[in-house]
Amino acid sequence: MSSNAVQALKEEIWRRAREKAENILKNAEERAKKMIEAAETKAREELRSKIEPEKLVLKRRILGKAVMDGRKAVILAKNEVVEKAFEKALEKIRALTDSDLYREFLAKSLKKAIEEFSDIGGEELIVYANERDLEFLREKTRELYPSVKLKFRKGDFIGGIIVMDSAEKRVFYDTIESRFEALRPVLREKVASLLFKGGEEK
Amino acid sequence: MSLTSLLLEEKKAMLYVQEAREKAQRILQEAERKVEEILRATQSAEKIREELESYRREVEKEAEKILREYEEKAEKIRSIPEDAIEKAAEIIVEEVLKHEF
Repeated sequence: MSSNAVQALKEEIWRRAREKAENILKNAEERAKKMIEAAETKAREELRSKIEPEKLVLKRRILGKAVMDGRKAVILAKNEVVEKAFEKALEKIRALTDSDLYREFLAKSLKKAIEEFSDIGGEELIVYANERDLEFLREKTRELYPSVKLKFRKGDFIGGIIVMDSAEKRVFYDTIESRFEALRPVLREKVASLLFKGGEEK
Repeated sequence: MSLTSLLLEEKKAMLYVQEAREKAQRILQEAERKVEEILRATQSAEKIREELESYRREVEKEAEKILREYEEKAEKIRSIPEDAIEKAAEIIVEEVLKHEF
């Protein structure tokens, strides 16, 4: 056998050996990669099934609180605006005391009070009113109820009247403040639906 | 002489392949170790805590967005035009003075 032929055979032996070794390593690496990928997939799924219920609870708690806080912020903002409207209304009433609308209310209120106490005979009634309204009320009494005995006193409120019998056992309240408070819940709804269209959130 | 040298070369080549087999074996053993490690990690309380913590951060971002939207809505409400409040105040005055109890 010539030395060239021997050399050629040696090279062939090594070529085959290298090819085989490469294949062995390549296969091993591919198998290892697949094993790890499968394990990672399995791990992810196991973890997911294990923590999914906790995640759901966590999500509900955190997002639920955000929605609750958010709604609260909106309600507070609406309350602020509604309160602003109430404050403005009070300012307007203070400024309106010379108006026909207010005088009409005051006259009606006096009439109602006298009707309320119509069963007490000729007993004297005490009428409390804002100092500014006393003269008007006196005039109205002289004009419309000359036979009714009324004593007028200064009251510390924005407007309207408080009437009581002389024993101060029966009281008729019709002040601006008491009207405001009595009507506040209804007016809140009305004003909110006017201002925010959708009404007031609860 | 040539035949002997060829046989020797053949033996060397076989050893080379054998080494590759051993290396492949080590690669697979290392992979098995990693697989065990990965699967063991799912049982670990620390891993579960980490996952939940990362999820919590994600949900908190979503919560911040929701809250921001509500706050924007609240701001819009606060900036309601003055004439609308004026109109509402007029309605209140009218009701307070005219309501029959």
